[in-house]
Amino acid sequence: MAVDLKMPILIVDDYRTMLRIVRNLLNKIGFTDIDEATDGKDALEKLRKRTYGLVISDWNMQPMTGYELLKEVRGDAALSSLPFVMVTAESKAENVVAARQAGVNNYIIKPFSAEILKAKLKTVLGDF
Amino acid sequence: MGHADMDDLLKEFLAETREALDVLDSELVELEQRPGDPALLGSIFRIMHTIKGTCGFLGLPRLETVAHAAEDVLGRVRDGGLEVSPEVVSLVLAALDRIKELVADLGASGSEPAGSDDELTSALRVLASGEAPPVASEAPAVRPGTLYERAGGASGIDTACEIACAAFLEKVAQGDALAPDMLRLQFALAGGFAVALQKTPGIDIADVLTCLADNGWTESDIGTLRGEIGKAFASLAVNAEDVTALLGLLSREEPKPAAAPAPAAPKAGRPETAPPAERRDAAAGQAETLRVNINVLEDLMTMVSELVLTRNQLLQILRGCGDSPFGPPLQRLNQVTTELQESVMMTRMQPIGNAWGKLPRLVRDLTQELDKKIELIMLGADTELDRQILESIRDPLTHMVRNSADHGIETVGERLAAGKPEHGTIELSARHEGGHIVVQVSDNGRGLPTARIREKVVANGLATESQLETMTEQQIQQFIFRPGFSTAAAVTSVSGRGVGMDVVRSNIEKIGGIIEFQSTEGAGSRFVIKIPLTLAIVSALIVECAGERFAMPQNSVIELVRISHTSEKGLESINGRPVYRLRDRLLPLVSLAEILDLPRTDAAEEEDGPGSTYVVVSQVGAFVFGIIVDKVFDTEEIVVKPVSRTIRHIPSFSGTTILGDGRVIMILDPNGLATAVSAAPHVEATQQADGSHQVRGRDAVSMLVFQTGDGGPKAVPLSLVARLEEADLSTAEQAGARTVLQYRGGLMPLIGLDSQPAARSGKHPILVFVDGHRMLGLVVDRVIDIIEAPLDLQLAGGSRPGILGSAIIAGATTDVIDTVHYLRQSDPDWFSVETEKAFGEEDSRNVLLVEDSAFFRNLLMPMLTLAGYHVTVAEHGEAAIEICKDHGRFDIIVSDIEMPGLSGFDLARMLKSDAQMKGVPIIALSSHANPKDIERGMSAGFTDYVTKLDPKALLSVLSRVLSSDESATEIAA
Repeated sequence: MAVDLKMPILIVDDYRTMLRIVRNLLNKIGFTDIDEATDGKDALEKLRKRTYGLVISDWNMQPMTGYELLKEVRGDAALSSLPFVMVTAESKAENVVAARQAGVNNYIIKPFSAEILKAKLKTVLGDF
Repeated sequence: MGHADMDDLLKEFLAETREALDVLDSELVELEQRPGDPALLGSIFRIMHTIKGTCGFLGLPRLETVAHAAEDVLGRVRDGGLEVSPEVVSLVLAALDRIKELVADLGASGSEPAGSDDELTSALRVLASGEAPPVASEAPAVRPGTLYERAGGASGIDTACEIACAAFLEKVAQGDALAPDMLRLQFALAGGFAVALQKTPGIDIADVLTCLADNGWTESDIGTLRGEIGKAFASLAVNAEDVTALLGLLSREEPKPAAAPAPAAPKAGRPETAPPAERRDAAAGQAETLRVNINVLEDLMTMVSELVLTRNQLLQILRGCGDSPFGPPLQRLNQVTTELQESVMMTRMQPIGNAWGKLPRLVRDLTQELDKKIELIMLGADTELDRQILESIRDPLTHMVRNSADHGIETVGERLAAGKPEHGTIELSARHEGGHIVVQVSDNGRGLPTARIREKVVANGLATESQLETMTEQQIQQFIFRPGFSTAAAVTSVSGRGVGMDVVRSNIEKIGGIIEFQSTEGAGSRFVIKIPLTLAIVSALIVECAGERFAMPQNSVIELVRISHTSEKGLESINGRPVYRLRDRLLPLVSLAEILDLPRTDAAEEEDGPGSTYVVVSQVGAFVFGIIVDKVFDTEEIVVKPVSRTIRHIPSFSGTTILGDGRVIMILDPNGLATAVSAAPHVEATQQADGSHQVRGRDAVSMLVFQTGDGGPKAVPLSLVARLEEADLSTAEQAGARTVLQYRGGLMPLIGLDSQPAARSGKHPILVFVDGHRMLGLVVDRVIDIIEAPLDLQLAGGSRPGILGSAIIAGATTDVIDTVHYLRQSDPDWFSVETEKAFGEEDSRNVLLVEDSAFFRNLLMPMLTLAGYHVTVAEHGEAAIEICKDHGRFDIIVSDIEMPGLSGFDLARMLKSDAQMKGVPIIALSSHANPKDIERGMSAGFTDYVTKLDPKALLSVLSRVLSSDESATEIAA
């Protein structure tokens, strides 16, 4: 199955630098349509306005964290199957497991390269 | 990340990180005060965490390591394993400082400086753990180029393991059975690799495989897994050599028997624990914001400025066109431009709190360093002002707060000894006031001892003792703004950084602000700073002088006065310098043409008749002065452009601008002009002559010295003179025996000292005395000067009528004229104040006048007598007591305050404690009339307070006090 590089992706982080880094990496992989949100609440609003093919969200944000966003997304019928990748600086297994249990498609530990991001996205979206 | 946009990214990271760090600074200090606040803690943790997370991407190992170590400490605090103690905060602040240094270096050089943070990080780790270092899989010290890093770090290894596990499960087709464990396997592998690569103790990757074998995995399964791991690393662009090295880790060199009861794989992953709940702040409704590069804003501002200029130009043209079809759209354009201008200015506005961010930390560090307890209160932090101005006041504010903490607030011991609470307070406040922001920095510390300032002022030769004598406490305090002034007995490491208050003042004045200082010894000090909201576009008054136009910033213009020949009041001259009596104030004037050395033109005279001129009354600090110009036009919104370099040294100009008609004109700098005015020799005299402005020292009075007829100079207390006029005596008329002049719609009698005024002709200065509707003009030949004269005049008795005596004023024997004598001569009713004689009181009231100065005795006694009082004179306080005892009852006592021996205060207290005398009202007579003195006088028992030089006021106070005394008696009766 081919991944559509033109699909809209929402990246969520409250640190501008991170948003920019993730955007750069996604661009490098070949994605072109990237929107940004600065926290869970903002993301949720944007997710309800537009149909995205993927969400890449930071875990640790204010006021709504990535984990809370994930739970909201999974609890929303319209969004429940949306591919969701969590970015975290903590490779603490318990966090990752909690995220898995809450329905995250994959998680990725900071820092990561384009190759790593691509490999992670492959496990979520399939080959491209 | 070798991207082309790395530089940009780094810049953005630095900007964002600096912001975050500023927040951290103050939040940490807050945390120390509110150690239990989870929201605060969460916020601090998060910022540190984010910095750490981002650094990894940018290849900044030192920053990452330090942030990581600090984050661990904060994490421990957050999880309740560590209490917030000053040590913890200090250490985290130290980490913060290190991060700032690194960020600063990074900003300067574009790369992290070399160096070690081991000492700091290990100290942090000791705090964070008490046990083993944190989760091994995280990278505490990643050195570039290690195998760990080349393998992709934690993220790369984790991803590789995930891919390998997924592929392995597909291959062995045991997906269903193994699936639940896949995550654990992945963790175990990733953790194992991390341990092996970083040589940290824990479960090695070889242990993982051994363990798998122990749990019934076949050799071929493990082999497949190895293969997949190799492939996975390769797919993540890890080079072949490194992949081999990584695979080498999967087995131990020494054969290992299966005997070791290795713990099960899950241990590495610890997956069963509950997820820690992320802390959440109360969701603050955030307005949508967008970040815009500052250069874009500056460009916008420039363009709006141009638009404003063009708009002004169009309006100018329109004004000359009368009815034009362009009128309405231009009005609309005008309005929209104004709105646009305001909006763009808004984008440049920042809360002043941005300049305060570092202060809590500063104060906190100082409290520790100086062993003081200081609370910093910040009010109005969200008050917004132009960023340019914000930048200019950041350092001055920091300096003032540092000063307050260092010099102002006492140590705990000193405070307790002084009966104050042990916590000192420094309060910072900001508020809008008109087109200005008023910022105050105040503390409740020891204040600035005026005595010390005096010493210093004299020691540094800034003023002489005798000059200081004539100054108020407040005036003396302003000396701290003089260059090179510092009161700290010893320069401390804290404040003694070579920056004086003079620099603070010049910084504030540079942006058109003013700064004032007030201090009360023992109670604290206060700086009040008033600064304009913005600098870019200001409202200005356009004036003309010698055919040249100039812009005068509107915020320093108080009022405009047009003086034409037909005005009742004209320009007066003291010492050949122009002054103007504006209401009750003598205003020093400067001519713009003179300051700028412009050729005089008659432009103004052509239009408004000869002698017509305009005075722009301006204020700089407390100094009010007038600028003489030829013409005044509209006020206009002008765009401030810098002054060209070649004329930048001229203090009179602060900038240039382009007028509506395209003319380039200079913007006048009120500060520079004020300097020019105060450099003029007459200003001091004017200020001294101006009773409202200056409180004199003991027994000093402004005398107007004039020349008339033969003989030496004559003098009269300036305060008695209402106005100085000049009139042509040929216009005077004879009315009976009197010479009168039409003046202010009435007839003013004229007198001369030695000859009939009518005998003179031509223009003569006239000293005008006014009392209610009555006026009297004293014709003199020439006004010489206004001189501050000491009042212990050797008065040669009052043998000659009309002369109080003679005194040495400015080195010349001068006759001091008895004004009352002449006034009385001109009009016998003069000074007969309408005392309420409605009760038919025929007997005159008994007044005891206590006054040690012969001058004032001679001045006041005849006046009181003329006003119908029976006056007894006491030459000092002791004599007053005697007289009271001997002569019994007085209706009222008028006493000087400052007398040798028994002072007025003492006298009042003594009289008030005397059963017989305590009912007698006492009026204080003083050359000092500051509120403090008045308060002191009132508490000593004075009924009222009158300035010596205001005989009218004394009479009316006497009349009022006596009549109220009367009615009080009546009611009692």
